[in-house]
Amino acid sequence: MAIQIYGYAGSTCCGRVLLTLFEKNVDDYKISHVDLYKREHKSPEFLKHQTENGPIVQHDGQRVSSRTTMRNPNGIGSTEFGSAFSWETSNSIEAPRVIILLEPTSLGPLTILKPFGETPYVIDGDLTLFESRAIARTYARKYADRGTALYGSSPQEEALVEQWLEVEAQHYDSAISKIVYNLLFYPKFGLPCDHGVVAEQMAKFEAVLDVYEKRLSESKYLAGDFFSLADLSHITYTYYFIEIAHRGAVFDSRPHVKAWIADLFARPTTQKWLKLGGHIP
Amino acid sequence: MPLCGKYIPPKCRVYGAPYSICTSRVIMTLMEKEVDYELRLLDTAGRDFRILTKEYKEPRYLALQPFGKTPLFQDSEVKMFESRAIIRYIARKHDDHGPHLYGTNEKERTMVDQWLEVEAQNYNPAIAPAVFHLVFAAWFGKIGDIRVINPSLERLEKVLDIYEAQLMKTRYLAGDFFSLADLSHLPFTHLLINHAGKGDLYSKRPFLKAWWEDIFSRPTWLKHLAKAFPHIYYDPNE
Repeated sequence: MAIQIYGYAGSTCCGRVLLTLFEKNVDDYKISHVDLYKREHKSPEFLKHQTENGPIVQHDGQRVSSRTTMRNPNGIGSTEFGSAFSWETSNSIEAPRVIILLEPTSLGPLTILKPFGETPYVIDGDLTLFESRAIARTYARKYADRGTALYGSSPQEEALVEQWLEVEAQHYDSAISKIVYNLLFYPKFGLPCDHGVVAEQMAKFEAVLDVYEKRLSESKYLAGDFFSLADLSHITYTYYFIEIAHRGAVFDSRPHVKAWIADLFARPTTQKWLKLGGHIP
Repeated sequence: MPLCGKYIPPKCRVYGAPYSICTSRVIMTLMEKEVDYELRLLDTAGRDFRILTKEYKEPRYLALQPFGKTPLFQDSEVKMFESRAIIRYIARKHDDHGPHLYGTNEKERTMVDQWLEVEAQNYNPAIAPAVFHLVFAAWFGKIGDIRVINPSLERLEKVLDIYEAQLMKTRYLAGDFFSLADLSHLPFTHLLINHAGKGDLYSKRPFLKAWWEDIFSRPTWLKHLAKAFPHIYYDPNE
């Protein structure tokens, strides 16, 4: 049965999921393109589909989407943005609170929409999943017997893969996502780019890259001498950072990291994702 | 320690401080799994002036933990850092005894992974600034910045609404079983509610309140609190 992916194929987080599926030679998936820039995920058709396939939340008798706050990568301090990130209500200041649904629906009395309003969102049989790294882990495990061994081949290697995946999530991603969001995505949504945040995060990012440089001078990939889920997780954001935001100069003084990135981008699965996502013809 | 009898060294070693957030996660998991561990006391933030060692700045520590942070976990097979990765490893390695913190089948494990990511990506970034400015600032003789605290708490409230909705469906976050995902929330949430006095955020959401009271009253957590803050908490089960 086909895996249903909701999202924009070329986006960073959706890319993580797609790259995992490609590494595992999984072709049985279907992407339902959600155009975030046109706020398609708020359209009646999308909501109706979500109703039929996923739960809904009702507020004051009206069907609304989940209370969404775009994960604010600027962190705290940009208070002037506040609820400007609440995608569903461009007019009101406060997004409605989730309340208990008292009337029964076909799905049961109480249901919740994909909660954080982010993509990707995957429906696989009766399983509904969000959080790209969790989805990637799931499929890396489910298809452990085929394709690239994304988790290594022993519990010790698996532990190191988990470790570097967390490093990516906590250290690498927190810096690079703020930079990429400010430089690329906020202008598309009509929000100002905070160059102070960009400068601050670039300094943090460079510090993280120094750690990576040292690590990659000791081993070919992050978790060892094998390509793993940890390396995969870096590809999408790094592509946006280098090729679209044109900030690749930070890697020039870190030859091992630069070589590692070149290696990741040269993988056939990466090229496949780039074509699918419309980044290269 | 007995006067006679063989000394069996603990199976693993944790570097960190028991009152630190990330090290607590690891210690809780080890206690839930009843795994014997040795704690090497290291405080990267300098909260306890009695701990004078700055071992985390030394090259041989940095060789193992290049970010110079705690916790660092060592056992006979791995040396690793990043608390959420460590707890996954411990839960998997010792899956044959103790509570099934990673679930009992693939589907449950997927849910645990998902909610652990939710904790890392959505809950933690919302609660951490609030706790830093409300609780940790005082530990270092500073005053918290309200321009950071208030937006942080607003963001947290939105996340708590989503948790409330999820906890209406399941008893714990990843299903009807206590898991790594619930465990991971304990340290910061405890500080926010019991040290910063923001319990009303949780008590006004009934399902969230029930969940919190359930996980907070786990005997291992109370035991850990009594050890981590011996001057504040005592273990009622002792």
